[in-house]
Amino acid sequence: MFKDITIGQYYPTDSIIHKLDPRTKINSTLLYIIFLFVVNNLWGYMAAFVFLAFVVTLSKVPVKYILKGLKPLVIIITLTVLLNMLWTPGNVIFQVWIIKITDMGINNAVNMGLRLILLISGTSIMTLTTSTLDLTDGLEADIKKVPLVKRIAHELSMMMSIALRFIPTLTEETERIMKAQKSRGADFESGNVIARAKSLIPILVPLFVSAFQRANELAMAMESRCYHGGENRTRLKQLKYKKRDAWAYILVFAVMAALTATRFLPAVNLV
Amino acid sequence: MSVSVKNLTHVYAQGSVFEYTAVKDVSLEVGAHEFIGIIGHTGSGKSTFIQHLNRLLVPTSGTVVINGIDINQKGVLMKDIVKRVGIVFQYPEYQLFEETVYKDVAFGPKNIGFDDEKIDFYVRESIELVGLDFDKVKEVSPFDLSGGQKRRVAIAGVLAMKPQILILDEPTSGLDPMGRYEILECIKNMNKQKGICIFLVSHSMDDVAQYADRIMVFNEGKLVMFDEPSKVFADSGKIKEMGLDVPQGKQVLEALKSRGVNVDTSAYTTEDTIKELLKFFKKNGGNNV
Repeated sequence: MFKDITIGQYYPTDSIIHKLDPRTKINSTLLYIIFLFVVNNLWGYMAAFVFLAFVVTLSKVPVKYILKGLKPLVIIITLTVLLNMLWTPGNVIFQVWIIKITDMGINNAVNMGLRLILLISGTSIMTLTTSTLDLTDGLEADIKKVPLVKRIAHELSMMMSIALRFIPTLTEETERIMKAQKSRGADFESGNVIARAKSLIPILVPLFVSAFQRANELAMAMESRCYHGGENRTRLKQLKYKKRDAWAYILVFAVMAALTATRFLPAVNLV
Repeated sequence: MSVSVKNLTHVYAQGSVFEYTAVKDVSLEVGAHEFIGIIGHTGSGKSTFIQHLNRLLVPTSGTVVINGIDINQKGVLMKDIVKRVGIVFQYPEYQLFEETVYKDVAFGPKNIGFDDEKIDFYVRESIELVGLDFDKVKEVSPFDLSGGQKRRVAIAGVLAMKPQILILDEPTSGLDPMGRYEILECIKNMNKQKGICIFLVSHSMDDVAQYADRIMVFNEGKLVMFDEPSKVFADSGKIKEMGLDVPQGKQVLEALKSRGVNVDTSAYTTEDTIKELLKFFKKNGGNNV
């Protein structure tokens, strides 16, 4: 079940998207997220989808991987769609007992669902094509430009990189502990909600114990190598924008302009 | 309780860039009461293999039959499998979680539905079997114990389920020589006295040579040898090719032989090596070396 988590997972291959400067990818993803909320009709989502499909094709990451990233979020997406469908006022087109489905409801549900799916797949394409090291370097460079937090840019990105670095370790650990407890007859799959929540204790307690232990050891190892934060640190690999980054920015700006333009197209009503 | 594995293959992450065949076409038969040693270089497929014996992993192809029942068949309950096949993983002390040693050891037997009286009896029995004082440790938090004691409690937690097949993955790693010896002796006693079938995964050639009736040698996912220790360690060149080694005693004898000393290199346990050396000294009056 933990193999489904693709957030923060890197898919190593050689593509133009992989080669882009991490700052380009982070900034583009940010823009993409912001403009997904600017979009307010189906045309916009279609445009965003075409853009995303184009990037995915360039990145050479199998579509299967991106879909897998959506899997753990199916519940949230379904819930959002359902809530929007049932609780939006408008012209009732379908009614059973107190459940009313309105035309606005269906429109909202479709829009919200699409927005979430595009949001998640867009961000996972960034993490799938950027190694954690690059990602944190890019983040640090970006945070350094933000006035209030620039002094702690290095610490913030270090925390991020450690957190990301430990996702696979902790999932592995969780799987290991789960296997050990399963061998002792623990059952994680059946029973009601309370029984299931209770069955997590034999996993969570050892997991927390070992996570704290790991954190302790890591801190010790960093300190014994005289690590003391970002000041006066230099880099072996400096981030440098290349020509392809300029093209990427131009493309992204063009797409964002197009996404904004879709607001002025006549709305498509599904019902 | 017999184990029969046929054409077992396991592929991780099939169909992705991370695809990796960890176990390739392994077939074997193991009788009840046997003591099996499993050796192989890191990444040779030993750990993947053992996880098939209680359905933690489902084979990509092939079958695992335990006591005549194909455990991957529909309708076979996990509970009924773990009742018979216990696995003690590497560093098992990391799976402890309860407030007291007693509760932790009782976790397994409770899960498989033993009644309280039985649980009480088995918990006491298995804590004593691993060499701890039941009355002293039962109310202690497992997190307050020493590393070696934690390991024993964890092993007791599996033993208390009364498995007929016990699989141990590197149970002695990170322990001092005395701790190693005690744990291995305890495993041996379970095999000899209670007739539990043992699978012992180890990086120590000496340990498997001394305790195992038969040894499985894994290399690159394949079961390349499955035989008695004397035969497995007969050809040291072949063993070394796989990144493994022969037991230390045998290394000594072979080193002597290569320097022109006429000893028999067939011994593989430390004890037999000493016997062979003494024999040699007697024959030569002790002054001809």
